[in-house]
Amino acid sequence: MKSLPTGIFIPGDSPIHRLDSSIKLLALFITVVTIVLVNSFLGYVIMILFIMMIAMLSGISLPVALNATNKLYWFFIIILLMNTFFYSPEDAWFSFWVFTPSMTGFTYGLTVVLRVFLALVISNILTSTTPPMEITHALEHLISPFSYVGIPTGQIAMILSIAIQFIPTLAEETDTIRKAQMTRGARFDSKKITQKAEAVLPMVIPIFLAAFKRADELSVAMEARGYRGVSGRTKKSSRPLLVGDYGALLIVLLVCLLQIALRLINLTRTY
Amino acid sequence: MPIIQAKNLSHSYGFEGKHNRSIEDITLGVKKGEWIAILGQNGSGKTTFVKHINALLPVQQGELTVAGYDATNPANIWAIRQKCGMVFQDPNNQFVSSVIEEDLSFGLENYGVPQSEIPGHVKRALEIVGMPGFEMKSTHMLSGGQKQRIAIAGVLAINPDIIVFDEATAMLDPEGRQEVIGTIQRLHAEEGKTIIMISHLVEEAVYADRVVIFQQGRLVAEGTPEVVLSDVALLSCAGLKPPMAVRAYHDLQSAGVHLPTIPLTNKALVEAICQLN
Repeated sequence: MKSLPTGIFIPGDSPIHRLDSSIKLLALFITVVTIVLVNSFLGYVIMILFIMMIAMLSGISLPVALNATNKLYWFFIIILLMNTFFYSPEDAWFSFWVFTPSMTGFTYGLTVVLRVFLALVISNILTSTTPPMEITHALEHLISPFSYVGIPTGQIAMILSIAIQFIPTLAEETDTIRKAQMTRGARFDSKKITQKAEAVLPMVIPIFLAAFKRADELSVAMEARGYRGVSGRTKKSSRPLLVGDYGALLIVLLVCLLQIALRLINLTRTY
Repeated sequence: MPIIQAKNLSHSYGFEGKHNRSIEDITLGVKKGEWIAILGQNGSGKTTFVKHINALLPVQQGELTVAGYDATNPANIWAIRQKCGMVFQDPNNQFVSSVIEEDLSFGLENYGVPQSEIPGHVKRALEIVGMPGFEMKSTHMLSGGQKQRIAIAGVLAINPDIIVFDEATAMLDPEGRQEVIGTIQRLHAEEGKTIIMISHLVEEAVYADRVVIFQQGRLVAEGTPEVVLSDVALLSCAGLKPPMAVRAYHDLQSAGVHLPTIPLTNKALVEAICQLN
């Protein structure tokens, strides 16, 4: 049995699944902005509880909700360490060579990690509860005002949607190329950074070539199925906005306003 | 009147100022409901030819009519593509959505099919390929054969009269290949679709009504599978290997065992050998 790639749509009938996709996308945008706005301990507690509530309502299991962050632990650790050791030389615990570890740096690093973590989890919940084409239509709808100044919003939305969808396929292809290079002596397991870099560089060209080949084949297949831009296209699913959609957006806006208020009051400020 | 009629069709690809003839003087008529297998080596012009049928390449020289539409007229491109669907080699490069229902709706949305009618078309297409109830499944969870059947369903949703398979089994394992061939057989026998199938595997051509051989951009032979696939000299001249059963027939012949007819399939070969006893 194959495992589902990260961010793939999981069919369901939860309240989050049933929400209008444009509302969900707009709510995601507001939530991510809110996450960036948070600068207090209480603010983070509220955001974590809020995202946990959304995850529970979506019916998505905890491992699935968190799997977007699974491969990023090293990234999180590096961000935390770099901030701890380099961010604030003024109030460092001690100084050794170029290292100036400080509580301020540690707190700031933790804040950055938490922000990225929460943004990834909430984005993952959106893609797990919304079919890709609905995301395309939602994006197209939200950026449609730009079409008045000649920007091809429909095509942009389609490109973004397909690009996101091809990430697991390209990741699989990268793994195949990596294994092929390993059989020919590439040292990805080497502890020496120079050797690792030497092994990674020859992978770049085959990965790009494979991506271009796939893009070319997909564009021909899309043309063969009658794609000629957005004009004249119908949409499989489009429905008027319901009370629940407005309610969901209102809740997200209230959380955002609460965070702005907390920021203004500057309660228990972290960063 | 044939559903596809090509007359003296030629096409060149321009590269670095040079023009290479990919197909030359192709004349071929295909009757409605017929199954044509096109065989030939890499670079023999098979894909270039079928891309004209789907209006993916403009007609440079010659004449081509598809389902009553003149392919030389650019205004007919979308009508031709609606009448003629195309299934490609790698199913992963044909999906626009990872959700099957959305992917199957793509072609219908492009042709402006009303929203209320889309689910019905999707359901029917999935039933034809033998995968009912797969609407909300993810393409990532399917086997190679299932993926290609979904790609076929994506084409079938538009209900074209002609379906072109461009080496649609090339990337599949034997089981997946059999799944796809079984689906093509059903489309031909039960749905009455006109099938144009490009293949490297000579064994797959035995199911066709007519076999066409391409060599260096030219159509060098056409006829029933019985005639074309048993002609070892013709096939080797075109760089193709005869089916295993035909090779076995000739091996047996040279060993002094004479079978009454030339079998094209392994099953027919076994039956012929059993009849000897």
